[in-house]
Parts: sequence; structure tokens; C-alpha cells
Amino acid sequence: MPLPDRTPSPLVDPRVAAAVGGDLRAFEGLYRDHVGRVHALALRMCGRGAFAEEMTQEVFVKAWRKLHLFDGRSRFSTWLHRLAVNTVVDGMRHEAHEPEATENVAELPDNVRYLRQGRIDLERAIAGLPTKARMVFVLHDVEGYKHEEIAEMMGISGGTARGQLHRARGLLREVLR
Amino acid sequence: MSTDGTDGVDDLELPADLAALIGGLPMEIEPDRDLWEGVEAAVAPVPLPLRAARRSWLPLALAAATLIGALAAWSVRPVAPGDVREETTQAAVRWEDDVRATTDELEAVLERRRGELDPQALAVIERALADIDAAIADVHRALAADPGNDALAAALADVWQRKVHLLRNAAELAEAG
Repeated sequence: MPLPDRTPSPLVDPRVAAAVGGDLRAFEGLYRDHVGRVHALALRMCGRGAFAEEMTQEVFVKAWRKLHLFDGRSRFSTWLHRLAVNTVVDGMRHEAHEPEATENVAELPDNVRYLRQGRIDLERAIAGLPTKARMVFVLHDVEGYKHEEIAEMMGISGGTARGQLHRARGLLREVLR
Repeated sequence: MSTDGTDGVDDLELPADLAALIGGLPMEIEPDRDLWEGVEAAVAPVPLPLRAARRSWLPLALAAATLIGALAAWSVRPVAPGDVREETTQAAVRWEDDVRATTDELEAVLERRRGELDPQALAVIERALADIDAAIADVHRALAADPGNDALAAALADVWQRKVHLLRNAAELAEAG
């Protein structure tokens, strides 16, 4: 069977090729380098530490299983980040233990209300946002995705994504005022 | 035109106060605990019971038997059009030479140390390897007939990974004496 061109790409971390070949230690190295970035994303999107850790683990399990499909045309970190977003969005969609979205600032939990006391903590404010608004805000304003990408990843319309961003910014500005 | 008052939200600049806070967010947040152990437990298809292996070949034999079962299940898995993945065939097979180099090295180690393996364990390993090689040959033939089938290409990479895992464990078992 003719095999495709295998000219090594400078973008490919040699540990990726080793991990594709079954080298778990190489994959652990990739995990160590990227776990902080993946966990930060999961934590902000989930709003809850334990679930974020669960999602972070799931991202790396999926990465191992899909690693042979990484073609080296983008950076491994870019590929992993997109996989992480999709995994967390999917996990959030199927999780039943997410508390019902808070509908307005007056009902925001204590971890957001205390911002009014002058203790600025954006992480906590983000965690206190309603679920969809939080996810769109993190993806758009923190991670830099476009509305069309967010809409596709979350299975919502572009208009809904824009609306949720508008809502998230409004809520955050309200508590930061 | 939207009726939710969010028209043009894309065109709105992120409020400066919020932008400043977002800019100060760390891009990496390490989880409170090391998640690698959970990842490793989920992704290692064949356990590495070296201590136990010194006493008995049974764990590896069981693992190999599991592998044979998995391969049997895979071999009867229908490759329906809906199973075709988005990723390209080239991406899935481009690593084959690298993986083959790894398996060649491991097979050489196994060949040198085969006398140190329990004969029954060796027989199980060799049967599993024969099944894997037959599966690889089958997938090659199928890919030659249907080179654009991404599901087949992904299956090829999966079988190679299984071969690496089996050989790595067999080699470690032999070296452990």
C-alpha cells in the first residue's frame, strides 16, 4: 500500500509521535505540559472544581485515543485545546448535576455578591454566571473564539451566542460596579 | 433584526474594566491534585503488573486474551458509512513507519529474551501477535480496496497501538525475568 509523505513537521512535538506509538511516558510528558491550560479552561467553563477535574481527565483520555488522528498540520496545543472545548461542552450538556442557571444578579450566589464588597475576583464572578452565559463568555472573551465557532461547538445559534455574551458581560459589569 | 437588544454585540468592544480583569487571568491553573493517575488507569489497555509478573505469567496472559477478544470484536464491527470519521486517511496512516520501527525494536527485545518467558505465556503472546498481524494485513487489504475509508485508517492505527502495547508489556515481562 503506498504510504503518504511523512516529512516531519516542525510543529510536531516528537513526544506526539512517540505517544502515537504507544509510549505512555511520552504522553505523560505532554500531559504535564498541557494540564494547566486544559484545567483552566475546564474550570472556567464548568464553574466547579470537581467536575472540572473530571473533565480534564476526560480530555486527556480522549486525546490518547484520538492521538493517531492528529495530523501535525496545527500545533498539538491547538488541537488539544479544541478537543478540550468539545469535551467540556459535551460533558456539560450531559451532566445533570449542574445547578439551575441563575437568572439575575440579585440571585447570584455569595461568591459573586461579595464582589460588591470590593474584593475583585473575576474567577468567582465567572463561576457564578448562568451556565450558557458563562460558557460563551469564557470561549469568546477569555479564549478568543468567534461567535460562529462557539455556536457550532455548543449547538446553539449565533444569535443565542451573542445574546448569552451580552448577558454575561452585563451581569459581570453589574457585580463589578 | 434581533429583538433581544443584542444587535451589534460583536461590534461592541469589551468594556475596558472587564478587559483589564480578563487580561490578568492566568492561562494555566494546575488542578489541586495530580490527575495523571486517573488518566493512566483509563488509557493503559494492558496493565503492567511487573511485580505480579515475576510470580506468574497469568496477568499478561489475561491481558492478551482480552486483546484477542477485542480484536475479534473489532473484526466483525461493521464499517458503516456513518462510522466514517472526518479526519483524513493520511492522518491516520502517516505514523505507520514510526510505529513499525518501535515494534521492530520491541520484537527484537522479545526475541532475545524469549527463553526467560514462561512457555505458556509466550504461546499466548505469540497467538495474540499473530492475530494482530493478521488484522493489520486485513486492514491493509481493505484500505487498498477503499483508500478513502477513514474508519479503516483509524482502525489500522488502533491495531498498531495494540501491537505496541502488547509487545512493550511482553518485553518488560521478559526483562523482569
